[in-house]
Amino acid sequence: MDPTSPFARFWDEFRRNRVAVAALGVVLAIMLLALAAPLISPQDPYDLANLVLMDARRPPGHVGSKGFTHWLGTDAQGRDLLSAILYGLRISIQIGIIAGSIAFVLGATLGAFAAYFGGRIEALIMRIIDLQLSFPAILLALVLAALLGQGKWPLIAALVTAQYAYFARTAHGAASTERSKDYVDAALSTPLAARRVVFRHILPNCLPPLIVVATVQIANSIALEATLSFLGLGLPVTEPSLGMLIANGFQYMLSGRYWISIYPGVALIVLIVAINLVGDQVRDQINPRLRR
Amino acid sequence: MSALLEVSGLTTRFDTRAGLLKAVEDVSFSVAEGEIIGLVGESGSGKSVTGFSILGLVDPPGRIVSGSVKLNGRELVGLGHDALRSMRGREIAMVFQDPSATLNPVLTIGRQMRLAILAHERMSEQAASDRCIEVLATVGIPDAARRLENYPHQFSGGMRQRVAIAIALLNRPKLIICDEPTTALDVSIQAQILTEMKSLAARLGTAMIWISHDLATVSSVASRLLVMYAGRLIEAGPVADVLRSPRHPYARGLLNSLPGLAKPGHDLVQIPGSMPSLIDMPEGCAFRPRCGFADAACAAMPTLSASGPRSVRCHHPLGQLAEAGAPQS
Amino acid sequence: MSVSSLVQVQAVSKRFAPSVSIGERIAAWLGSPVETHIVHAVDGVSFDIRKGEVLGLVGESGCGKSTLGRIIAGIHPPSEGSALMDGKAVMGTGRTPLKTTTRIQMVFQDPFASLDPRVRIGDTISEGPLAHGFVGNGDAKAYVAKWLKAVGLPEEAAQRFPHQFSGGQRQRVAIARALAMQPDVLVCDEPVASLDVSIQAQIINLFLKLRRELDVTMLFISHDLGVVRHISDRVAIMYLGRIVEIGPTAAIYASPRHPYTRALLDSVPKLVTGSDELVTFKPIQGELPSPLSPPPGCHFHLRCPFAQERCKVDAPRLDGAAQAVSCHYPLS
Repeated sequence: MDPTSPFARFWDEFRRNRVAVAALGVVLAIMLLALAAPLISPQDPYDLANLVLMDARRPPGHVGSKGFTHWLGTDAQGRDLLSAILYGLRISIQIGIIAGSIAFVLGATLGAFAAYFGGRIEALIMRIIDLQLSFPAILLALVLAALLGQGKWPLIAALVTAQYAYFARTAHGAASTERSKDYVDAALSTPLAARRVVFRHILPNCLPPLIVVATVQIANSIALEATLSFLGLGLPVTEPSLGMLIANGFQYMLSGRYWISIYPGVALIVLIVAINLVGDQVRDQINPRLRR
Repeated sequence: MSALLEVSGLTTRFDTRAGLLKAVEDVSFSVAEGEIIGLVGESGSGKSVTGFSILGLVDPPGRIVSGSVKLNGRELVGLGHDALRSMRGREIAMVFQDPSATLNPVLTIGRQMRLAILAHERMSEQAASDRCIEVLATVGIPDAARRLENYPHQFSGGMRQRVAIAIALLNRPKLIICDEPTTALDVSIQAQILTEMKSLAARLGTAMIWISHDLATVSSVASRLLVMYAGRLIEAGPVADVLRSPRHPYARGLLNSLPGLAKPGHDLVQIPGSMPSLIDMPEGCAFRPRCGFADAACAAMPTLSASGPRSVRCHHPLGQLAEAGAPQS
Repeated sequence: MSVSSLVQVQAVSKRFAPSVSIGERIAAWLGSPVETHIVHAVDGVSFDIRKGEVLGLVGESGCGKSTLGRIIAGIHPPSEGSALMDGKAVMGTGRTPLKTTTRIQMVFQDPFASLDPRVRIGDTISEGPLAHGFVGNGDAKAYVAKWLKAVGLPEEAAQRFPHQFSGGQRQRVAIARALAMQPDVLVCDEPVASLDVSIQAQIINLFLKLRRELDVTMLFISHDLGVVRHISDRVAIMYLGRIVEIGPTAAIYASPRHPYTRALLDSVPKLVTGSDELVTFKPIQGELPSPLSPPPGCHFHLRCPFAQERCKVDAPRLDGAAQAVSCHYPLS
């Protein structure tokens, strides 16, 4: 690779932080495992025909009636927890990335156009966003999830609504700075259409801070999705995500069957912490002034 | 005339990711008491790094590799942090292009100036204040006593630079290094400051090293001129002599590049190309790739050879009356 | 040279008022006095740019020359008056007015800021011509190569990014971008101010060459009197938002009629080449007043050695045929 390319330089600096590199490894490994879930998990946890009630709530290491070992035990329906976690991660990551991406595009576009046009358009968009940011994201998501009902897309819609404002704020700040630079004036003096100036020139130059927000927000949307599912407002019971697995095991915690809640919880925490560690390093590199 | 400052063989380099950057290579010159010398060059010529090196202000990854800087016979290279600190301001002061590099935005200028005095001298606050007022008046700040209570942002750009100059003068240093002090200012303000600096130096007997890219500005204050290119001194001599008949092809090219000397509307005699990277310098004379007189001899680095008050680093120096065209062999 | 005017600047003013926050509005509504910080950047400026000429626009920082340049280039709408290209307004009207012509293009001071760092040089140059149909997708590459050649850059430069070039080369790219729009007028805002002397000479020569070969009209904005003298046919001197003098370059440099022009010319340091030559400046007294509260009457009267009572109240008008001056008591 060209040693002077921005990416090569970025990676060169990134790899000096061993914690971040390890975290990146963990994120990639979890994603790979989640992607390969149908191939590697011992059981399809969504196929109710596969579930044997006899095997319910067995501790880790139990050899079930189907003849394979439940390394992480089973849940109240007799699901193999390892399989359920792998499938749950798959859903969580999928929803996190889809919701994060939609929020990214929507928020960045709104923020950049607000900064580009200025005046009343800017004031209107930014006041709505400020208003929304003054409510906790979980509250908004809860209300929306309750209104829109259960299912994957309503859940994504709730997450996007709760999160696009963060992207819009960041994009607006970055775009306001870019807006005053001469290359934008050069585009105006050509003249080029507003749409082109925003999408071709302003937004690409706002990417660095947006990428930082994106890493944090994908972790947040995974956590938010888990929270909603935990509260029963997420996906249907037949397709348990991590949040629902935790919720399902919650009632057995005190009866000693800790594994039903703990293992999905550990998986969730490891994923979120790893994403955040990667995000911290990315942020430090992109904006050294924020370094603590 | 005794030498106040004696710089010899000064070499400063920076370890960068891309390689070893040779910012200043084997620079030697001296400054007599009360003398104003001009140090000119384009960006990347090493003129500012030379100034910083004299003051011991080169921070890692930069370091002074070799050479010596003697002030009144005392070696400054290798001096400890504290010794340098007590020397700075008292014996040598510096004025920067951007006065906000010197001024603390959250302190009144009176407070900053008193601190600068009390760092080097014991005296009462009142005596220090009196000195501040006196120096501010010297640099042409009206109503100095009242202005002491103002913050830097309450001054205009030109006034702020005057304050920075006043701070440099506070401890009556023997030498002031001025790094492009008027570059950021408008011509009318620049003219005011140039006139005042010149008369100040004459009155107080302060020596100055005036670093600038602007030959005209330097020529109006300095008596001796040093020209740098790609980290090395390439020509030195009395200002008027060097400007009237430059010996080094680069110095001549620089003069020819000035629009003021050419006939309006006609092409300027330009130097082709641009300065080589300080990381990847050509063998021999660094100006060779851009020089019309270069030949095989130029593959070896020429030495800075002196004749009378003038010296030049060139195998084919231009003659006294040589027109652009024929190299003197 | 024909004397038909190509660009008409008619009584252009530009005021910048910082937006008033909701809090301040409430405070004002409750009866608290609100401080207005209106900057009068350009104050009723009128002049013509003639076809084929280079008009220099000179002034110190904060005099409004850059803002005026941007109004003529169609980047900022004027607060009052209008800039016309062949009698037609450069900008439309409305809340967010758009530029209506491609015949005026601009070159900026800082070539590090005026090129989008993420766009390849070739795309930077071809973007405008493609958007306005001057060239088709198929011919874009050859078109870019043609303009790169015109400014003295190799064809391969098209594939590279701005950071791979030096300041002088970037300025060449910025000039190529402006020229590729085939403008009649080029507004150049301090195009050589951020360049080293030897590079500056190369770019000045490039402008001279382009002018000879393409017959392009230029507004050349600069604070450097030497550069302007070298390149301009006529020159306009600006002080605190107003034109104080305008006329043929040689005449103004030889015998300035406005005291400010005279003082400005006297302030320029000259090369000292005689050992017995004494350098004496006649610096202008005082500093540029704040454009937030320009003095009444003639803006220069506070610093003017010839100011009379009348100058303090009565603003002079730009008057005269060839060498017009805005002064009650012009120098002869």
